[in-house]
Amino acid sequence: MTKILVVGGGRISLSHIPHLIASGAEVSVVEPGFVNRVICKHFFGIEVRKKLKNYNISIFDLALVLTPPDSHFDICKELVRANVNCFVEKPLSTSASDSLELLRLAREANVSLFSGYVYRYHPMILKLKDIVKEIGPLDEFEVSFQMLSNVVNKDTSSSWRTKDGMGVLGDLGSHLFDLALYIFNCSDLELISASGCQIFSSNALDKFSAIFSDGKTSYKFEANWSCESARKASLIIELKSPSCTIKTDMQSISIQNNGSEREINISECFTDVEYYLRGEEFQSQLQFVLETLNKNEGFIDINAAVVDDMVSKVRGFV
Amino acid sequence: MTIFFGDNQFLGVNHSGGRSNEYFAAYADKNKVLRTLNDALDSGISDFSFTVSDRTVGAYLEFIKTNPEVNLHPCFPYAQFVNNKLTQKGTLGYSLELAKKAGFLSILKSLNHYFLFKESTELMKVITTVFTSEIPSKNLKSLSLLNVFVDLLIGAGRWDILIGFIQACRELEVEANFYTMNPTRLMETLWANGRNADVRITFNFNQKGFRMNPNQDIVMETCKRFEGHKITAMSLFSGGDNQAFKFVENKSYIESVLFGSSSKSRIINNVNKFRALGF
Repeated sequence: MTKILVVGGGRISLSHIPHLIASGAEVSVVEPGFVNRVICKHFFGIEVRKKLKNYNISIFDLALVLTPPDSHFDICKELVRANVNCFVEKPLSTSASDSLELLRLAREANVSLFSGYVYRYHPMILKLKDIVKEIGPLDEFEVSFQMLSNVVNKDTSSSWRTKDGMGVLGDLGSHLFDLALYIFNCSDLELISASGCQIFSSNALDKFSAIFSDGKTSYKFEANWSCESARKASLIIELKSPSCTIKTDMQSISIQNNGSEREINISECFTDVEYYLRGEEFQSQLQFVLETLNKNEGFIDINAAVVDDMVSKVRGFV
Repeated sequence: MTIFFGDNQFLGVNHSGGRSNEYFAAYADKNKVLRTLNDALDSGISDFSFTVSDRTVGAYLEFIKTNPEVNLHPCFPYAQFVNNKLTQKGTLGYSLELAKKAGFLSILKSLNHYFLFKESTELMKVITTVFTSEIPSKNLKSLSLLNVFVDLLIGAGRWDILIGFIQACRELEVEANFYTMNPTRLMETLWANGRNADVRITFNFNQKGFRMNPNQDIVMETCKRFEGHKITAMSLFSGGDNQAFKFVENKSYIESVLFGSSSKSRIINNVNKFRALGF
């Protein structure tokens, strides 16, 4: 039976732990907070301890690091050094150099390092990636990524999300950067311009926009997590070239290519999963992690470190 | 056989992102919600299912003032609402807010019962009260747990909490309903050996098999085995409007349907077609 250690029993653990239990894994949790510790212990009926040092971590096949991002580096370093495969919620760390160091340590220890960019497993993103591949190389095009939500407003109390080093850039922006790398396989992106502002947070950005380019294609990113009109996090991706326009709002994809038009709805995509909670992508993500480990195929998420570099560049610019 | 009128359109749920925010903005005006509810009532619908949220409760309370005969079927907890609260107030802050609403004594009593006797009926009664205290009992016909919570309990193997909710509903003399994206697991466990036949289960059922987990064939096969139980089909139109009616035709195990719409003509058309099929 796969032994999995979940480090951090906060809200996101409620999404991951049921999937792990449903997969038949033996799950243990580290959680310093009393309330979350009681919830995990009594709700899931699993072993919960206060500190990482209370466990002999080397017995675990996999650890899920679900703590605030500024703690990822130290926790991951300890786990990787004990030869434990790690899945780290995004972003990998809050510094590009720390993320690169984690990749180096994982390679050195011969363990896998996954990151929680869950949109990669969303049926619409998988379909979009297929469509982009199907259309083939485009001479010139521009892509825009926009994410809006309403999670930080006047009633929001300060948390790790609204601290310096995170903000909308680390929280939503990292998803957008990752999707650009994942869908378009782009590399060597250079920051052209960036702007951002605080709306309700005092130490972090609530809104930002940035343009990167690889010399040929322009990638525009925008995110605002204090958008009053957003019911829930919405993501829109649009690709434009002289011959083709592709747009998705994660429920459907519209394609106009050389005069022809078509639309694909999410209900036409393959969405079957053994166990569903919050979205197929959560099940598919953990399934990928567990299958990779079962097959003994190593995996190092290089893109996650590239994303952190992009975040650092924008932060430095703004 | 019942036709339930849902409220996804009021909350912008399950619509394409752009339209989702459009619907959400359009129904910010309570009068528009009331107009759509009256359209549904005019079409002959008397059962109204809705998610308990800041936006909906006030509108439905006003709706029943002029239409005291309608049946209300509140659903909770609304994931988006709870998620926003947790982000804003933190786990402890939101727990304290709920405890205040329920009454600290009731919470203490029910938690005591839960930890001492491992029995969750009292706790579920308190939670139910927190979410539905404003709804008059004469209109309250069922209480529903929404799929995020139900599926979380299924994944965690906490069948005892689901049973606690069923028991709480029986004591409150209302029907218990569960929304789920894992219908096979839920039907197999809850309804096994003739148990809990009074409980309703509501899930996606459409021609394309969209979000019918683990897959459409298995879900349909399981439904057949539980024919006679309270099975409500939702998201019927995910397979396309024209196919929806054909797809439920002759599927005698589908006991009722749930749909929502913002267009009066569409509501009337759907109701007429469902009625023609025997719903």
